[in-house]
Amino acid sequence: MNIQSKLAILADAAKYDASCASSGTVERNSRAGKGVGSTSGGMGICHSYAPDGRCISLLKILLTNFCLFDCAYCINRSSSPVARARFKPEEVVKLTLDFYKRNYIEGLFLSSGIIQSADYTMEQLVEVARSLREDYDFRGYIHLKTIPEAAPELLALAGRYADRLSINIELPQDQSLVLLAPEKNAGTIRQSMGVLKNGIDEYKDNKKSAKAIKSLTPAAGGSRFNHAGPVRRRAKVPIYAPAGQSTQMIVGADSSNDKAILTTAKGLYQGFQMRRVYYSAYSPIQHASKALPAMSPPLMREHRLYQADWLLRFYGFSVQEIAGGATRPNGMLDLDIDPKLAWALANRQLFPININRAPKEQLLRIPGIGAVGAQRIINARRFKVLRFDDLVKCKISVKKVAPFVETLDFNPHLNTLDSHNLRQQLMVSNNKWAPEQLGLF
Amino acid sequence: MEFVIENFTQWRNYSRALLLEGIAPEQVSFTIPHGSGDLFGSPIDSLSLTREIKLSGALKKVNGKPLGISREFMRQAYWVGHHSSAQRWQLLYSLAWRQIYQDKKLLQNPVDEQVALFHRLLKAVSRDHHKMKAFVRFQSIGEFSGEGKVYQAVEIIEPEQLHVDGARHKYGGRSNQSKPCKVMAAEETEHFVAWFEPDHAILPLVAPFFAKRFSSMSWSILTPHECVHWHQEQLVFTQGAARPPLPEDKTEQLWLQYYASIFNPARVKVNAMQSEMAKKYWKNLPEAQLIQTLLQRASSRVDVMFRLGNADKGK
Repeated sequence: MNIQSKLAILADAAKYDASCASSGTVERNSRAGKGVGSTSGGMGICHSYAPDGRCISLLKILLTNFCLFDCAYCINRSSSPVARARFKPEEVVKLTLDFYKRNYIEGLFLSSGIIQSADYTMEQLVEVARSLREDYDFRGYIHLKTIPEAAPELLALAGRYADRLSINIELPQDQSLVLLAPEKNAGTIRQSMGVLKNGIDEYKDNKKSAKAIKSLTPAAGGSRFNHAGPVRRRAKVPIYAPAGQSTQMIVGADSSNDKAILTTAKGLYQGFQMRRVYYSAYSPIQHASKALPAMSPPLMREHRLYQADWLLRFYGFSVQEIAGGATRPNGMLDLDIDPKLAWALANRQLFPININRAPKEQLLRIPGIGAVGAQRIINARRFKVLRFDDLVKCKISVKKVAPFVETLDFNPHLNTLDSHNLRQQLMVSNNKWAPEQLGLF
Repeated sequence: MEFVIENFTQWRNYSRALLLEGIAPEQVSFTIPHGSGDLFGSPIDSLSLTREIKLSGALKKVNGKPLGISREFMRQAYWVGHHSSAQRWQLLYSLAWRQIYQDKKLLQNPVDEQVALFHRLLKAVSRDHHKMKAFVRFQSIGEFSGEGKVYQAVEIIEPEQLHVDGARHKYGGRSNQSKPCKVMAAEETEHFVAWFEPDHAILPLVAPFFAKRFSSMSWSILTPHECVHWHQEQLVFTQGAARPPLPEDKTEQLWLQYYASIFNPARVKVNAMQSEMAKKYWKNLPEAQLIQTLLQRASSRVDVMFRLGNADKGK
């Protein structure tokens, strides 16, 4: 089988992994090296976008889609009659470098079906990363999907070469895993996430102590009379997955509601310091298992979960506030309006909020005001008492915020907040990312 | 008083003198060279070639008198100086003057008209910069041996023929779109070429990124405004070029295969794609030629998935 045919099969098999991030690692470049590659230390670059709206930042492929496991939701499960292929490690290395040199990608995201044994598979994955780093001095981004059943030594080795490691939690509830992925074990998955967390924590601690040692060394600062120039005393810290770990949950393959999904996510963020939890709407796959629903869940559900996830992490909301209680008694997010708006409509007694007096935490709870907008308001009110038109200058959508704010010259009509139509009115133009009908071209 | 400004250094030098005299923005007029239009306005500013740009140093203290211009403003002004807007130099002077003589913290006021415009221009340049880092596509034009070899419309010349004087380059100046761009090629080295059309003349801002990322490669980026060449040591700028017909690169076929295969036909979000990858970029992105076909086939592919999926369930 030639490379192109393998690529066709093994990229197709990888497309159900939602993550394509190349962010959050340390800053590197290829000056004074013999290879190529750089990372910014902050955001990665999205080099292209597929018509499914997803960014293409990494070469996202499987080493092989042969698999011993039979997970019902997975297109590559052993009982699935899909075409199979397997890359040799050196083929993946060459493909990554060839793509990178043409500026198609930021690096590699490598995953694999389980062949022979978990350890053997993990060794093959690590070999690709090792070869890129050691044989070719590749300094771009590497994300390795980690096999939870593999030996801890192999996980440690993986962290040495990869920027990011990930283990998929797969399903929101442990009992679903028992049902749909009998070879997998929720305990093993969490245990391995713990191993990764320890490695990452240790790396961070080492970095901190190295920094402290450096600042204590007088030669580093006052090297004026040292003709060899400033002495860099920073101890070489062994790298371990500087971009941390992430995970993915499949949405809609089991009966978990959004509240259960978000509760699991919250636990993963807190327990393992995940950089990201990805939500992947279950896609109908060819020859799907009988255990699965026939239809895929609306993509809007996935989108709402990402919005809710954001509210949990950066806006100070709790799971109960956005996916439970009075806001959503059935534990499912509203598909028609975003979760912050849904929360605000269920808590109208807290509005209108005074733009000139509210603290930042309160501004962040206004539908239509994000972190950037809130900061702009705070900056602007140091100069003047804000009028309604000033919100436009702060680049805030006045249409969205009007029912919820008061300014020097504006107060929402008393009836507005009480209006039963408010939800209806605000739904218009709220669905920017709704899946579209085909045939726009 | 009217000043015709060709680049940031010039603007800074004039402005320093005028600001020291306290000349109000209404009394001066900064324009771009006649006939340069909004595009292709600024001949290459060689400042960008060195990282040690002493931007704020020049304005901070003259004759012991502090001018109160922040380093941050000067850094941002340098970026705004690459915008194609004809008003940019006037705007920068006005903001500098107001910061010194009216309000030191002016830039923190987002509801000021000029500050808002400044940030709009800055954002446009920085977006252009970001998209250029993302959407430049190199093609290998192979390895060369022999002198002065012409490869299709890309004329190959030896590095020595491009005289490089320290960090400054000799070939600055207005674009000449009819001429093919000369590409340096070292012997026995694979050379990569990209053609890109940024909205603003940002090549000097973005070139160092490519030099750091692809430092062990030899490459050229050609744009209508100017071109830049890298030979593992130094960035060399030459005048703008026309789009070169490039030879086929076999890896591109694999990239197209990857793009087609990573697309999930069960999810179609054209708006989300286009908001990040606007149509204006498509003509220079090899993978964009596939978009239409992929979308046309998507629904029938999903139908097949459902059929096969449901057929299995009947068993």
